[in-house]
Amino acid sequence: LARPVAVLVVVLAASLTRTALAAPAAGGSVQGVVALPSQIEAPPTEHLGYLVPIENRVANLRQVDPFPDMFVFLEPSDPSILPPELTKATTAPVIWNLASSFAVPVLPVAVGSTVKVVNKGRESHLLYSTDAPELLPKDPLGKETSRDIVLGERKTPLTVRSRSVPHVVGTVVPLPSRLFSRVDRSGKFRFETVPAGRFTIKVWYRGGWLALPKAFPFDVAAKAVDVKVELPDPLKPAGK
Amino acid sequence: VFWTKIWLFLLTAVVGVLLVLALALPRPVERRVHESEDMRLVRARLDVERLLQIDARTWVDVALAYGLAGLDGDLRRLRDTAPDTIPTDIHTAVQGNLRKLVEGTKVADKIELAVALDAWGRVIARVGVDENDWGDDLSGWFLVRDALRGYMRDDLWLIGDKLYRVAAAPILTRAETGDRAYVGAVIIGQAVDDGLTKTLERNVSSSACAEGNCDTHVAFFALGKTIANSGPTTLSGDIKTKAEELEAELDQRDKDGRPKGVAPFTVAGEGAEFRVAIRRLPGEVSAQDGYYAVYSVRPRATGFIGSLQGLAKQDISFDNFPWIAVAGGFLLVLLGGLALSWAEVDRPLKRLLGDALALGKGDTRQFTEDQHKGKFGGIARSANLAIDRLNREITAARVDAADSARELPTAGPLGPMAGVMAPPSAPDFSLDPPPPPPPSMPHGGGFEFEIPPPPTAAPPGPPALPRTPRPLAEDLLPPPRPTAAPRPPAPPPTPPPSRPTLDDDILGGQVTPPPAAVPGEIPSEPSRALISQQATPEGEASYFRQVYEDFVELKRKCGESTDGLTYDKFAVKLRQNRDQLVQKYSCKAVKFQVYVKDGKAALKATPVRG
Repeated sequence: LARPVAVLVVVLAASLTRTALAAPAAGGSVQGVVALPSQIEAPPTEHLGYLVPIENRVANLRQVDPFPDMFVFLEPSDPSILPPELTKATTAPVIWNLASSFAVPVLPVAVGSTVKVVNKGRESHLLYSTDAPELLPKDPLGKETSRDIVLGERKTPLTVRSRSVPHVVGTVVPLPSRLFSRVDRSGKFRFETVPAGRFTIKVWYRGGWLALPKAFPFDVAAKAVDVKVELPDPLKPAGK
Repeated sequence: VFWTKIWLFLLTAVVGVLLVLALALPRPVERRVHESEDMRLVRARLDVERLLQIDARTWVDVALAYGLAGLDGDLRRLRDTAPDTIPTDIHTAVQGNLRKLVEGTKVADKIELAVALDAWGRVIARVGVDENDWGDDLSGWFLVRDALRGYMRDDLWLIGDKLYRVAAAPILTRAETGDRAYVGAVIIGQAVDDGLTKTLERNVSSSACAEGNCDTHVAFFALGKTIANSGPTTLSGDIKTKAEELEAELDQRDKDGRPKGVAPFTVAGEGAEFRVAIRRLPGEVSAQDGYYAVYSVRPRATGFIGSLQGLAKQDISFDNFPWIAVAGGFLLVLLGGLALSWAEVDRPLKRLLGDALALGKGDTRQFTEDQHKGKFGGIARSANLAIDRLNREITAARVDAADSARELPTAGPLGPMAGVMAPPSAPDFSLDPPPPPPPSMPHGGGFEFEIPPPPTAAPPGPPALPRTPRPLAEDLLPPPRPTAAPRPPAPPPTPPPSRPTLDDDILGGQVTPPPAAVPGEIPSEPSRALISQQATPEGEASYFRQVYEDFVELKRKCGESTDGLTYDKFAVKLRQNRDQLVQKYSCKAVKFQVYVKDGKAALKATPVRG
């Protein structure tokens, strides 16, 4: 009796062991900071008034803050490691607030998302896009109203503008997963639940992905990963 | 008349040329006036641009002063702590400081909008417009972006229905090291309103603007709305409509990216037309269909009528207008025309009239053709031809009558009339009433038959000279006046032996010669033909018919009525008279002749001997 029982225990143990070995490794968090380069190319001054902008002689010009126009994205080496909940768009629309300008000039979303533009400003806006005019509402976006932009399977960026207010410009960037994060005022970012695996960090800045000088892959495991992203110096809009 | 016509043609041509010049000459002037006006408008538009630039610079300086004027303490704290929400105490403190600055600012115009921003473009506090709102993010505005970087610049913002001229400058703080650091920005602004447009209007108008008569106006437009207008508000719609048509031109830019000015255009206002020069406004409002217009009344002196309407009293004063030359030219033209008219019309006509008068008076027998030229000469020649023809006809008629009279002895003491013709008993013939018979020629009334006196008969007393035949015209004209140099009397014509002269005026007191005095006549060919014609009834009827027709025609010519005059009655009378004469004078035929007596048709019968 003891022998069959022992065999059963061994088989069970072996099965449990195999099961335990076949399950994916537990994921972790990724956090990091985007280091500012020494030089950042300022965007061109637009819609000048009667005077050419006068440079302040009391102090040197302040460097352009690139972080509002920036987000980071974790791209897995093997996309299959991503669970479905990370690759599917959320059922709830992504809120994109618009006041005197878009709250975030660049909005990363998962492919298939719906973006709800909420006008919290005092002006009405007639939004339009030269990229995909059919995706934008045809009627004005009044004060305290919202309009949905259904991206569908669109995978390319969508730049949205207001016909009445020239500085209202924003870009929606559809991404294959939800592993993206904006950076805060100090350049920090953080991903809480990243599946274990090998990833590469990509940085979006003003219209495209930056060619990072040190684009190295890193492994994510249970232990938190701390990365430092160095930007090209001088920093120019993507593609330049 | 030739030179008069030439003169008239030249005058008409000159008038035509002057008319063309009058209509055409104002056009180049009008074009020049419009060009000058357009140039003035463009310069006025440039002046407005310069004034707005100066104004922008003033506001930028004020903003810079604000940025260095003590707002930095609280903002520095915000920069260092970078809170997600702005603490209320900082908002209150910054707003208080900002208000003090606004109230203490000595500028020409009141600051209507002041905003303090932190280093990320969030609103810490507002004074003026929306001063209860704070915490919102203005970093998207181009002006704010530049100000946060350290630039000072201006812009034009459309907030609601108001257009603001805004200026921004960074807020600087002194760091521990002594260097300046950026901790935020400040924005100040003032609305574009009628006060601004009036100020601009005064600067680009003529000096009369100080008295309220500004000739140039300024208006601002954005998003299809009128922001401010110093001129007639009714023009705003027309300017906007035209500006929409010119949107492509409005959006054109110079090499430096500045908006290009649009060439002036015309809009119709109330009672006048206006020339308008527009230009796209700079700044953010340029993307909101913002533009401004400088316009003025189009000069009225356009075209001929416009030039006339634009004439002032001093333009035609004696000092400024060559009235003497104009009057002299007018007199020359008038005198030339009158002289030609006198030479070619009045004088020849007067001469012709004088000739006609002399002819009428009997001083002359014909027009003097050599004295008349051209068409007046033609008239004289035609009249002379007519006179000649009449003379010939009368002469021929008298010769015939004389011939006939010579063929038969004249009537006896009772005159040929008494037995020749009985007076018509009924007004069948509208014939002459019987004139009183002369003493020498008893008259029977009715038809008047005159028998010319025989040429050989000499009345008792002094011998009468034989009279030469006179043209009929002489009978119609008054007797000729004695002239200073009387013509030599015509030699008395010798009467032809076989054809005595015929004298119509046998009732004029002359003594009718007795029939015996009539010489015997050798019947001439016409007499023979007449005798043979009356020998047959057909010939007699034909002859009577001819006489009847001649008589009727003559009555018509004399304006007499022929009512009741019929051939049958006429022929009966003729036959009766012929028979009486044939019986009385033993003649073979009677010749009837129609003639005019006292302006009426008359008929006389002459016996014709075989």
